[in-house]
Amino acid sequence: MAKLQDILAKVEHAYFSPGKPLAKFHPLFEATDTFLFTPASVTKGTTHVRDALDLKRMMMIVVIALMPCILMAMYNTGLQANLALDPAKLAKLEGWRHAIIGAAGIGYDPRSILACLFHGALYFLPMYVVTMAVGGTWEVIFAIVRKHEVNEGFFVTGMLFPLILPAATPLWQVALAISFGVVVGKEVFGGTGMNFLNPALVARAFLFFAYPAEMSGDKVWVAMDGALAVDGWSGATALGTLRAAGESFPQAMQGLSWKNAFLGIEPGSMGETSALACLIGAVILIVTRIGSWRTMAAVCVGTVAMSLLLNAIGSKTNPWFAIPFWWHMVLGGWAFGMVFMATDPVTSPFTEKGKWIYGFGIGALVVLVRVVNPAYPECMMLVILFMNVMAPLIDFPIVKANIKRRAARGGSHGGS
Amino acid sequence: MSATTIFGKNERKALIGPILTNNPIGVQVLGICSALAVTTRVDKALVMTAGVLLVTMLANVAVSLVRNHTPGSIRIIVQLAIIASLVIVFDQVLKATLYELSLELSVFVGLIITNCIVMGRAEGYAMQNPPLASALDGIGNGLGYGIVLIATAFLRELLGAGKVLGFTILPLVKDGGWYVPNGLMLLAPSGLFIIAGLIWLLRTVKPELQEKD
Amino acid sequence: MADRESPRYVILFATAVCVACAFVVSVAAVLLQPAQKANARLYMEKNVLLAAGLVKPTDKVGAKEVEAFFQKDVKARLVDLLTGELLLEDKRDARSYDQRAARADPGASHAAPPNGAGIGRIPDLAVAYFVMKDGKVDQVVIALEGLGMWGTVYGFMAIDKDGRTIRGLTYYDQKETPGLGGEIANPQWQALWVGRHVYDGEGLPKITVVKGAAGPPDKDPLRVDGMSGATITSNAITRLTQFWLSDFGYGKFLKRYGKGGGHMNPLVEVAEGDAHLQHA
Repeated sequence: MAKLQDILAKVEHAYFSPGKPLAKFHPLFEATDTFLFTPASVTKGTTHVRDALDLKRMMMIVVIALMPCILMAMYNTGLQANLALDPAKLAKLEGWRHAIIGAAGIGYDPRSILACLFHGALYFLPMYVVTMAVGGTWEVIFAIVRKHEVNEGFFVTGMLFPLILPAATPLWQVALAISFGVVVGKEVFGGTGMNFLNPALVARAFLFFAYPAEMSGDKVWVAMDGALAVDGWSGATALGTLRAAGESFPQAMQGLSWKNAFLGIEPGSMGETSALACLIGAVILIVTRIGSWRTMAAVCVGTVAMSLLLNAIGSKTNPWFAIPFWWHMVLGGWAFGMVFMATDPVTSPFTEKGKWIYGFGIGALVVLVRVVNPAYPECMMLVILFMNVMAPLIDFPIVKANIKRRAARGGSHGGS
Repeated sequence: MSATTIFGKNERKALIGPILTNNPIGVQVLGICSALAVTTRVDKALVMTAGVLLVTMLANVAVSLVRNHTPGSIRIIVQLAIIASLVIVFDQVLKATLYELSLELSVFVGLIITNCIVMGRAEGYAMQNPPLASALDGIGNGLGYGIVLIATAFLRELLGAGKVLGFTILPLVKDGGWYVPNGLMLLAPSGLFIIAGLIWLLRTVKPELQEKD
Repeated sequence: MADRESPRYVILFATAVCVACAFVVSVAAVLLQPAQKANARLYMEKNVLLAAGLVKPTDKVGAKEVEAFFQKDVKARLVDLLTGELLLEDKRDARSYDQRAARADPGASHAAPPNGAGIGRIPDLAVAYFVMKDGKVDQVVIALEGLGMWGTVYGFMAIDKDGRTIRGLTYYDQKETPGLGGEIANPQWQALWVGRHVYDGEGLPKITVVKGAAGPPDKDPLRVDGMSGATITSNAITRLTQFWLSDFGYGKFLKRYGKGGGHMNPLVEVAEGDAHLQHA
């Protein structure tokens, strides 16, 4: 190990130090170096002030906490596609993914965990690779232009983004969206730590608004061509099904299984379907103190409070008022958003009181929008973005009050 | 009096300045509100540009003409009355000539009244300068606003609908072409992204425009 | 010159400015009003022609062209929605009738029954544009309106002389989401309605915008393809269309018109073979 470090130091001196031929690309070297070894310099951005942990270690734990979601994303994506596929139309499958499945001889049996994982991985991994390649390129470009080190922050963004995408998202849209997310969501404001919006959510919202006809409805959530599906198959998400049901809402609600929604055996954005996987992630984040338990608890409280309130108000024309909170918690992107998006330290408030207000706002708003606004059943990401914008406003009076209180305390001790 | 003294250095500066170096949107960051709403199509942006240009020019001339008679205590309200009248007249003319466009521009023509550029030029320039220079300043600012507006609308219409001025440039998938239109471009936020991008670009190219904090 | 800040001068100056501005605005309003009214009517009537398929969306259609159609083949008339009868032509000029104003006027409208289309009041009289071909009625264009997702949508629907087959559709005033519900203004989606039926075998308005694709008109006449990602707008269109085709809307009129089988003649007030209309 020491030898490797030695070599790296020599390479840096010979090629990447100021004045040497590759000086411009020092950020690239630096990224490789610090990926393997502890950074030599201590950074001073806001992210670090907010948390005593080394940023890179923090990112690694988040990625570990995401593992259950990632596995579930691949399994469920494959499962939904395999369930949808009409075995009689096997021969009509086209494309490189099916060529690979054919070559590997894995098949499309929805009962086989391996077949599902394999099929799902063929959707998840390309999106991940595209996200990392395109987003990473932007990171490097900005690092070179601005002459700073490539930031590790993108590791987490790049991991989160494919997880909140519907399975059938075309790869070019993934590339376009992550470019938008990184540039407009982050670099415009000065890079990691300076952004007030979560770049992964910005990228997701970009897709939602830019390609609405493709990103909503029932064709995008399952990676299977509708023409090859079994009869009567619908690829709509649970929330979408309920929204489209209209007068037959009670029947639609009965058709859903809470257990499946909790486990994540339903169509949806790849990593978001399983509340269970998110719960495991939440435990990891809370135990390691990477994710704020306050924010998560506040989201739960907000959701329960708003659901109970709406249950109590009731509505003759809108059956959504009656949805109990334990359903809200397993549907759509609620669990994933709470565990991995709301807790993002950069874009949430940094005061403890602020986290309670912020989380409560997310939990309450997501229920309110789902119930009252017919246009956005899958609104978790938009609600979190909205509260991201509010975060500095939430912090401001709290910080002011703290300063006042301390000044007053100082005064009582006979100070100025 | 030769032509050069009428159209002197001041006048030229009044006309050319706002188009580039002192662009109302790009540098002064004024008039953003309407720039978001009317830039989904180039034809809308053109009409809006014409409106702002005419109103700014005529308001400047009118304000400049009465500048030596206007009591300081009510000067803002006088400017507003003049601007509002001009905007109403423009709106009426639009409804009488380009009816379908006026339907789509709806309230945004009326909102030229609140466009900071018009008011800003009347108060900031026409109150101190003679009518001709004020007219040129109005035209210059109208053009400066229009350039940004039309550039934004060009990008939005092209990327959002594959067209420019209604002519297909990028054939859409649903019409048998290859381009998947970007729906975000038809929504107001994209106007912000494009204009913010233009401002960013402008300030990167000309660092002297950046405010020091 | 008087003191510019004296109250007397300030009031005089303010008055002078107000009078001047008011004069300019009034003159413009008075001079331009006829042109504006003509434009508003032209826009409506152009959309009637679009619904009837007499002009294409890409055609440049000016006042002259529209007027030519209305002088020759298109006859605007008013329908009494409560009885389904046509109003005598000389009683009221249908082309200058303002249906939106009538709906808002309690004296010219009646309350609507509870409905999902966001319709509160129904005008007593509604427009119907008869499209003639070789001296006989070929189709009739009726007005539609109702609550979409973001606001009221306005449109026209052309119905064949059989009283049930759709010949064309336009939505000309709408605020639905661009690219999603806004597709109701897309001529390609509107064309999907052509050839489908508004009523089922029992005369009930059953035409429905479905989720996903509907079959071809001859096999699946009561269903229209939905707009992907726009379930709310699709459902709203279903509700408002069914409302206006019901007996609270144009239903009574359309049944009578359908029976006439193209012989209903708006020019002589009677439909041959329809005794009721002869009393009109």
